Amino acid sequence: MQFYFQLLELSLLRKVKHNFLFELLLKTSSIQGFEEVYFYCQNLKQMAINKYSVAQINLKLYFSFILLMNFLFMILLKEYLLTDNIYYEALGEQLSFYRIEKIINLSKKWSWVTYVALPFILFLRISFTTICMKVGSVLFSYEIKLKHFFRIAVLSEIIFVFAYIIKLIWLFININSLTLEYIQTFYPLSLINFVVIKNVPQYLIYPMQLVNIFELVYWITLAYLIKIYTNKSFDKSFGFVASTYGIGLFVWVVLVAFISIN
Amino acid sequence: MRKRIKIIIPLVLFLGIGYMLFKTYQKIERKNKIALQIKEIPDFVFLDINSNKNFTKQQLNKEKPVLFVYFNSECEHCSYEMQQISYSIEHFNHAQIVMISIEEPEIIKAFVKKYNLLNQSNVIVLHDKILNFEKIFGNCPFPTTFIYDKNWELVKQFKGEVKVEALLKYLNM
Repeated sequence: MQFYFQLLELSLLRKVKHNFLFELLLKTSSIQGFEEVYFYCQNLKQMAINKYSVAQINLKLYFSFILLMNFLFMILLKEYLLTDNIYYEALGEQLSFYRIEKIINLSKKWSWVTYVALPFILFLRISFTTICMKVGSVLFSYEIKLKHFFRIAVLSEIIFVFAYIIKLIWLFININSLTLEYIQTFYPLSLINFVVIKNVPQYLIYPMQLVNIFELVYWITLAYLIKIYTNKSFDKSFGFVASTYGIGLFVWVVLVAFISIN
Repeated sequence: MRKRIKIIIPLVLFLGIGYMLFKTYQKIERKNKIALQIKEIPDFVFLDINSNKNFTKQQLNKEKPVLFVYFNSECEHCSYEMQQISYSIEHFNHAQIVMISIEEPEIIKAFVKKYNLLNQSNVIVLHDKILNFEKIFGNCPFPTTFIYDKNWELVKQFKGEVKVEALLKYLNM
């Protein structure tokens, strides 16, 4: 039996979809008395198909799609939400009309920089997740290559696209009562929405934005994809994500708070 | 080798996070202390560039609101604010304007003179020789404005340049 299982696993080292040996083993295992083998094979086959499906996704196209969506969000935000009126209302108490106009013109002059920087920021964010998990894999002896971690991070990024969609929909619904502070601090389904912003110290705003449902779903997605690559249980994979990316995120938040308070 | 990495990485992370958390906590404590300190005009000693003598809180007129302006002559926003104040100086007659800078007295004098504020009776120009302003009032970008009412209680703090209308609004409160 042990040899039989080893043979099955060996067959899965190759591309499984059209592996003759695997199919043969699967058919022979359907005979009564081989039920245990049959279900094991089915499970292995499903895991291999999942892994194969994940590996088949065109990463360049996927990243391009994520990038395009981010560009679209930024355009919608800048053109339709961050209007001149928003700036006049936000800065009008402290600054004169002329000075606000100057700030707006300067901001428009240099807005192209944010568009150019967007791909790099996105790449940095994905790389951060990748590196956290790769460093963790060294510590926890997970045999996943860096390129696979990168793939996992890119695929999981779609969660934040949904977050942006909901953010934009919400802001457009409330377009008549928007303030600059609200646009800058709002994040859907996050802790920040339960507090009065004026009562929150500046250094706590970003951490409170980070505590949100989408971040949790992101962790779950990472864990699920790691489960596919490692064949470990979901619990173990989630634990891995929490102790690698989770720790990395905590370090990042502490760093941001440290810099903002200084 | 792997065993060493398994010890070094968590240790470095732990020490790094611990240091940043400690420093952040220290900063928060200091900010809270300063917030309490500046609720009323705190004690200070700066050099009056006109008389070349120390100027303290006790020398301020106790029945007038006070406007503290922390500035630097090379700051464009400071220049703009000074210009706006000088254009409307008659509206500030009921208040005292205390202008403080860490630059050398000659530079401060030249800057304030440029905006005809040097010989105004209600304008006091001070030099922070020993960089004490930020220890008393906290971290301040240029310009930072503190507005105290006639009871010497803090009404408003502005970071960055402020239009004259906003200064007068809070000075008249």
